[in-house]
Amino acid sequence: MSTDRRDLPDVPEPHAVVPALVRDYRRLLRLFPFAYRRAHGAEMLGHLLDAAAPGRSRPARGEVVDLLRAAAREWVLAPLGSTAERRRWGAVGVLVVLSVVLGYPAAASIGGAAGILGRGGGLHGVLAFAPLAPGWALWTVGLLTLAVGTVRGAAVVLGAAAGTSWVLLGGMAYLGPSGGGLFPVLSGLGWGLALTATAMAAGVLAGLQGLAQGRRRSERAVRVAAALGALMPVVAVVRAALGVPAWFPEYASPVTDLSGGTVVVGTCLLVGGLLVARRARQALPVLAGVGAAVVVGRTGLMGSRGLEPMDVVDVGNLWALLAIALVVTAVARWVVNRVDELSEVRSTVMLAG
Amino acid sequence: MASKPAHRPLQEPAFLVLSALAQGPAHGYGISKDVEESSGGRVTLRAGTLYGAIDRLVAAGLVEVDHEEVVDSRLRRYYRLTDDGGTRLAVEARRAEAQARQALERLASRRAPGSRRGRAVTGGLGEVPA
Repeated sequence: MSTDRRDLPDVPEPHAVVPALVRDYRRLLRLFPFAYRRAHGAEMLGHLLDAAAPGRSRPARGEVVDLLRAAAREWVLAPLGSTAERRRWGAVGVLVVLSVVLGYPAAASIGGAAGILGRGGGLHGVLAFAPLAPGWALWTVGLLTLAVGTVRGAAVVLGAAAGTSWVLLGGMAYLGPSGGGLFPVLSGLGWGLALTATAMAAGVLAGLQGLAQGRRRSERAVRVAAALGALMPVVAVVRAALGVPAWFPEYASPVTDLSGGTVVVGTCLLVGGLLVARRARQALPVLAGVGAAVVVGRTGLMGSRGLEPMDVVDVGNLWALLAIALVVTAVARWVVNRVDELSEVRSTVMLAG
Repeated sequence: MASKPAHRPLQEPAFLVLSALAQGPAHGYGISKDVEESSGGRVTLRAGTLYGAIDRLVAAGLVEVDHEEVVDSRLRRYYRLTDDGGTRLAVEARRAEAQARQALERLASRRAPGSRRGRAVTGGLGEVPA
């Protein structure tokens, strides 16, 4: 026993447990992501065994439900980081990068929708030619809330933006075979994932801000990035309201306008830069997954570009695109977690030296 | 106008975890036992929930790892309050105390003799238990 252990309320001495119980607890703990198990698995097992009544041979139902719920939560949040501290930095990085990067497609969609409405195209025209405009409009409001209001409020609005975009994409997928094909859904899936990632990052930050004020510098970076991201769509709407023509085409794409070499070199520089920085690399997996979905959905890799008729895109392509985004995110997370482990070992060795 | 509080109030499990650690370092199972006892059995923090809460408190800088020990092949990791955690707990405790005091004062004023509302309500509520 430790000598500095304080008087705890009735913490029993460890007692012998039934081997089947240990096996069952180990199985349940294996449901958690590896990085989480590495951080907490051993102490959780010790806790569960300490708490087990003598003679018990199976985990209690409440324990099983609690562990399943906690494991599911960890898997959902795993793309942003394996611990809450890493998730904080992952969320900050995702919000800063996506706020700035998504400003352009948001402005293109909202500006296009405003132009259509200004020409008397009506809601039908907006849904036909700028289908995700309602989602982008909510996203812009969310960013404005993030820039000048509360993170919690922003998380709610950004969540609504993501939900709206998925409803619209679902509707387009449902109508796709009889409508204009599934190509618009394929090219919009990346934006749906991007809006979801933004909402998730804001939600994580909001949860942690309830416990403590955010680090001032990262909080300022998020607010500035949000203001910058919201600026382009706001300007697009103002120009449309004033009758000034949009300065970009309604279907501009920052990805397809770049050459292959520029995209590859830019991606390598971005990934390398993010991997080196301890905090910024936590955002890499989510950004990589979203980036993969946006790029693949807009290139000829899946036969979705330059093909006539467009409805050669089928539901399988949509699932494949989501799978690609998931795999890229998982692989990038694995790499980042290993880099984190190496840097932990390195700092331990340096401290010991 | 009252100044806006720096934080939202802590949720009860987080408050109880911080309160458990106010006595000194404790491991996860010790914390869960303390939480259960101090809440009169109302709040039970099972392992999955507890370590998620501890992880968030660590990320918020309110709690940190004190030391680890192995007892009968079982790892026990002890956590302690940070200075920020102690300050935050004190703020939360004072806020809860002030709210409770205000509520008791209001209840007492309703029972005050000569008060119209007091007479009307006292008949229905009777004595407010201490």
